[in-house]
Amino acid sequence: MKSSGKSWRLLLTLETEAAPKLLVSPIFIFLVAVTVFPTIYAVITSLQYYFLSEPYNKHFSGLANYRFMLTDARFWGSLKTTLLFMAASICFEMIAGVILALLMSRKFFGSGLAKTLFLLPTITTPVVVGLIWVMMFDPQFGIINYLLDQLGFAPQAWLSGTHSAIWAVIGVDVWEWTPYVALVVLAGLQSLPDEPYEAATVDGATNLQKFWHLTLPLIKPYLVIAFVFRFMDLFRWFDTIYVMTKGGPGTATETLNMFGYLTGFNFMNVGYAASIGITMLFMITFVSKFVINLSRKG
Amino acid sequence: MRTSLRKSVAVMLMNLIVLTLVLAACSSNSSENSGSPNSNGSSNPASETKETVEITAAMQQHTAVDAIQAMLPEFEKQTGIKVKFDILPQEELHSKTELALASNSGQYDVIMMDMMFTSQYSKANWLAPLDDLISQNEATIQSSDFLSGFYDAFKNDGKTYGLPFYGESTMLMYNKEMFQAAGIEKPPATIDELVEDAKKLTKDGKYGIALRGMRGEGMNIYIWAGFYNAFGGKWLKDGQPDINSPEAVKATEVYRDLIKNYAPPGGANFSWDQVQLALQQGTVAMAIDATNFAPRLENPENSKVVGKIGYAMVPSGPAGASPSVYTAGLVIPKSSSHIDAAFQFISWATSKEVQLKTAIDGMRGDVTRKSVWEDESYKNKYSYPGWIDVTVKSMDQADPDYRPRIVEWKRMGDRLGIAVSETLAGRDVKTALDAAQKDIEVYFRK
Repeated sequence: MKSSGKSWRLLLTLETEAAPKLLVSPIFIFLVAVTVFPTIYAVITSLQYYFLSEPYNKHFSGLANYRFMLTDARFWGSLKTTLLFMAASICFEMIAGVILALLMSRKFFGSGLAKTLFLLPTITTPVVVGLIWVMMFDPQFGIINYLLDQLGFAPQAWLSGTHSAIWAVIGVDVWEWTPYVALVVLAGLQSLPDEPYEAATVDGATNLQKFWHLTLPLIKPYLVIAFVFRFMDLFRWFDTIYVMTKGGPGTATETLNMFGYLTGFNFMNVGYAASIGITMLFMITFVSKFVINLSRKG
Repeated sequence: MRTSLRKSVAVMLMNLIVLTLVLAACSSNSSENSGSPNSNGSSNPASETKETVEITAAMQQHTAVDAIQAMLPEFEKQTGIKVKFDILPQEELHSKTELALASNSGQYDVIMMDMMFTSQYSKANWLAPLDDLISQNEATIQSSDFLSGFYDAFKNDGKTYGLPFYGESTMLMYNKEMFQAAGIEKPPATIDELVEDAKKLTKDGKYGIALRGMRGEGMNIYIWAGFYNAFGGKWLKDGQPDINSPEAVKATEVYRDLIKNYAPPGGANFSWDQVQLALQQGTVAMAIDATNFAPRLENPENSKVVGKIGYAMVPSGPAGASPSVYTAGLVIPKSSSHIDAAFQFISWATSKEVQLKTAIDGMRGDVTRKSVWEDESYKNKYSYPGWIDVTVKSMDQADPDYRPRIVEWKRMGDRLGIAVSETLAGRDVKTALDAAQKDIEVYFRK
C-alpha cells in the first residue's frame, strides 16, 4: 500500500531522472504509431508478392518488386511525367511568384484586398480546382474555347491530346500554386532590412542591381523553403490530375503517385505499390536534403 | 457588472455543452438499444417477435439503388431487418469494398458487385456461396426467372455467389430525324454501314456518332470490346493473351477513326454520361452504349430528343454482332455475421415484386427478371418503339465472356484502356497494341 503510493508520487512528480523521457514519451509514441510503424510496414510489404485479391498467393519475394520496377516501362514513363511536371511547374511558379511578391510588397490603393484575392486559388480545394478547370477546358461548352473562337483561333480538345493535356494540367498547377510561392517570398521581402538598400542608393545602384545583388541573396532562404515545399508537393501530385484526366489520354499525365495509387487500389498489387511508395520516399528525402544542404553552403 | 455578465455567459455555455453531450449520449444509447435483441422497445412492434438485425450494404450510386432505398422501410416492416446503405460512386465502391473484403473486416453484409470480379473474389474466398440458401428458398427466388446471362455471371466453379440486381446490354441508338434529313432509310446493320452513315451524318455542326473514349476497362473497353469481338478478335490463345492480332488492329482502327473523324470534339475523353448528353442534346446522330439510356433519352425534363430515337441491335462485323453483357449483383461477404438476414435482403431486392414496383414508380430500364420484362405494366411504361425487343434480344444473344471473366481482367482491361486511349491521342494502333500485349503477358506470368 505504502510502496504503491510512493510509486504513484514518483510518477506524478517531475523531479526524477525519468521525467524528460516521460514528458517526451506521448509524442514519441504518437510518432512511432503514425510514421515509423507504417514506414517499416511498407518496407516489409514492398518485399512481398502481395495482391490483395490473391491472399492465397502472398509470399516473400525479396527485391523482385524493385527488380520489376527497373524494367517496367510504365514506372519510368510516370517518373518522366512527374519530373516534367515538376520542372515546368516549379520554373513558372518561382518566377511568377517572385514577380507577384514584388508587386504585392508595394502599398497601393486596395493592396490589402488584392492580397486576399490573389490567394484564392491556393486556398481552394484541389478537387474543386480540378472540376472548375475541367469545365473551362470543355471542348464544346468551355469558356477557353469560347474565347479562342472569339479571337479567331481554332477550338482545341484540351484534355484529349497528349501534349495539350500535359500543358493544360501544368497550367492549372501554376495557377493554383503561384500565389503560395508569392506569399512565402512576400514574407521574406517584408522582413528585409532597410540599411543595405540605403547604402546601395547612396552608391548609385540601379533598381535592377539592387534586386539582383541585394534582394535575391537576402530572400534566398525563403526561395529555398518555397522550392522544397513545391518540390515535395509536386512529386506526390495526385488530386487535380485524378479529377481532370485520371492520368489519360493513354498515360500522358500519369504521375508516379497516380501510378502508385492505381497499382495499389485498382490492381490491388499492394507489394508493388509499396515499393513505388518507398522509392518515392527515398527520392523526395534525397533531393530535399540536397537542396537544403546546397543552400546552407552557398 | 461586466465580469458577472461574462461569468454568467460562460456558465450558460458550459450548460449548453453539457446538455449537448448528454443529448448525444442519449441518442446513441437509444439507437444501440433498438438494435439489440434484448430491448423490449415498444417503438418497433416487429422486434417483439423477431430479433432486430441491422445489416450494412455497399451500393453503387445509381437510380436503381435510389429506388430500392425508398422501399427499405417496407422491408424493415416485413422482416424486422434494418438495412443501412453506404452509397458510393462506381470506382470508389470498388476500391473500398475490395479493401474491406481483403481485410476481412465484416464491415459490409451485402455488396453490390461488378460481374467482372466474380472469379477474382470467389477465388480469394471472400464471398459466401449461396447455393444452399437459394435451393432452400427456390419457391420465392425462382432462379430460372432471372435472365440466364445475368444469373450465370455470378457463378464460378459450379457455385453461385450472387443474385443479379441490375443488368444491361449495349445497343445502337440513333436519331431518326437526323437520319431522315440525311436521306438514310434504316439504321446500319454492319460496321461498314455504321462508318458510312457516320460520315454522312457529320455535317453542319452535328456529329455522326459518340462512343466512350475515356480510358478504363469499364469505360472505352466496354464499348470497344463489341468491335473487338465483332471483328473476330480473341482474348486468349492457349491461356495466353492475344490482343495484337490483325483482327484486333482492324477493330481498333475502326473504333479510333469513328471517334476521331465523326465524334464531337473531345470525344476521345467521353465517358458514358457525355455520350448520353450528346444524344440527349441532339448533337450526335448515333451512339452505341448501354441499353438503359432509353428512359433518360425519353425523359422530356432533360432530353431534347424525346420520341426521335430509334433502337437497333449493335451492328455486326465479320464475326457477327456482339452486344455486351453487364450486370451488378448483390453478394454476401464471408465475413458477414448476418448471412441469413443479408440473404433475405438480396432475395427481396431482386424479387419480381420489388423490381416491378421500382420500375413502375421510378426509372429502371435495367431489370434482371424475364417476368418483369414481359409484364404488361412494364411494357406499357417503357413503350419506346422497339426498345424492349432489342434489349431483351441483345441480352439473350450476349456472350458472358464479352469481356473475359478471368482473374487478370482488371489489370488487363485497364492496360487495354490505355492502349485504346493512346490511339485516340494519335499513337499508331499496331504499336500501341504491341506494347499492351507485352505488358499484359507479364500479368499472366506467376
